[in-house]
Amino acid sequence: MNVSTTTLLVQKSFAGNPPVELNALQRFLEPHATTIVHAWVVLWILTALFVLLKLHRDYRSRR
Amino acid sequence: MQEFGKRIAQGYERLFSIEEIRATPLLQWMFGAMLLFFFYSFSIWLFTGAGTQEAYRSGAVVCWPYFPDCGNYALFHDLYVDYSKGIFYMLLYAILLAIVWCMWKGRWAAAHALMVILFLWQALFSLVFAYTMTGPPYYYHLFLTAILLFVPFKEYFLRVAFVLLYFLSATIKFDSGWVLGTEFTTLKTGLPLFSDALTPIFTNIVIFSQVVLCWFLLSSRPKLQRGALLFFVFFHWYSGIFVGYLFPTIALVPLLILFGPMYRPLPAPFDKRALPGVFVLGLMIAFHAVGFLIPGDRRMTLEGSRYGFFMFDANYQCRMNVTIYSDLRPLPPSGLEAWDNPLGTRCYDFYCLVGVHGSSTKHELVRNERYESNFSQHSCDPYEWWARYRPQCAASSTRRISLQFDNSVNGSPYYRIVDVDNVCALDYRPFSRNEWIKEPPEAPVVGYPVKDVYRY
Repeated sequence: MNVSTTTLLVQKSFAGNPPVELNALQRFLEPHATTIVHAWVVLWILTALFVLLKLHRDYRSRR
Repeated sequence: MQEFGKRIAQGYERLFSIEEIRATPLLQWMFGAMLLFFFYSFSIWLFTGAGTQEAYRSGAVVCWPYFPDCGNYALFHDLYVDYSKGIFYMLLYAILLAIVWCMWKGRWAAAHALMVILFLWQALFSLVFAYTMTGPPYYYHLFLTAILLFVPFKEYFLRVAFVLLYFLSATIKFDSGWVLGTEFTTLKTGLPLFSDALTPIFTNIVIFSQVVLCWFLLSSRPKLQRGALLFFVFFHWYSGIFVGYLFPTIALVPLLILFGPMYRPLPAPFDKRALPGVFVLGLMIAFHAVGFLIPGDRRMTLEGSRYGFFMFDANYQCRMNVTIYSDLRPLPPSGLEAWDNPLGTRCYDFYCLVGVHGSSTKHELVRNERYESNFSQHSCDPYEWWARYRPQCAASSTRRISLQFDNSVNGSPYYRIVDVDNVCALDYRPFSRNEWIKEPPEAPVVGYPVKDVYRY
């Protein structure tokens, strides 16, 4: 087994370490993670559209 | 002759809208803020190997993938050869002082011309010579300085560009590491000051702030505008616990100048003269988009990961196993050394060499080197390892170099994303997928990490 030799990286070894544990909230959110990511993407696109529309409205009102 | 000089000066002032700087205290403050970050950058770069011929030859520093031979054009030598780098950076220091003097005297055209020199060096260094030593704070600075120096309607475009930087940065957070907060909870020390249990709430608030709240910084409603400002002031102060002074210097200082007490809502300039500003905003979007255009999971393959505003994209751990096969003659002095670092050995680099094992057969010398990553925020980039062995590949005594590269992202299992017999025979494409870098499930799981440790 390879063992890290630095003090700050303890045992970054290939074997023997269990998978990372999630806390309660993370366990609750995990099944919905992809949906939440998609929701953020949709909100980002909507925000971008809203900003562009507002610019367009300002442009028209100035003309 | 005097008349000619006068006309040149007037043309320069018109071309770069110097009058705007002269008439607007906010832009003068921004001039100072950009100067402060030049000082900060140069004081860091002076002490790095980037830009010296020796660093590229040894593989200690690597060039950008779109210009992998930049080392041939390195201007300086390392300190053990001559003082060229120190002399150059002290010349830049003299320019910094001259700019301060020009600002004090109100000679804004001269201050501007001198800052263009600093800008050009920073662009060249960041985008050509220093692949691993550059990153979002330097990109923020480059774009904001470009607007301050070259674009009309400076105040308006500086504000919009600053908000756009948040908005683009948000896209890097659209993944489970941020939505679940595992980027931070897989650190041994978690998020500073907050409990691990609440981490997903905070990470999602940050995403919301960079998608929606950032636009309120431009609001004409004082309460909304001030509320957004307060949030981002706290955010940058807080993130300084992670990233030190570097990021707050280029984010918090301009934030306070652009959106603090001097803030006034400005109408969008629908004018032909606004086109250069729109062009710079377009460049920012294009620069950020490159990383998304390369197929695959950029966090795992790291392809295109250094383009754009990728601050805090993930928490990385990696291990590299490199074996160099070379001719027996000439036998290098380190040829047959064999050691493992004892537990407790300190290491301050991005990657730590943890063991070397040399052996020989009848025909060749075999040297195995094992490395581990040391900085959770430093992306474990296979390109960096391909590039750092290029000089050794070019040596006539080298027969081949094999590379195994195991990557863990946000506490995921270690995936063996690279397992090649001869890295010297491979090419790296800067703007598309490289087939020799695998992704799960093609990349097998080879182990599980423990919690990562955050450090500067």
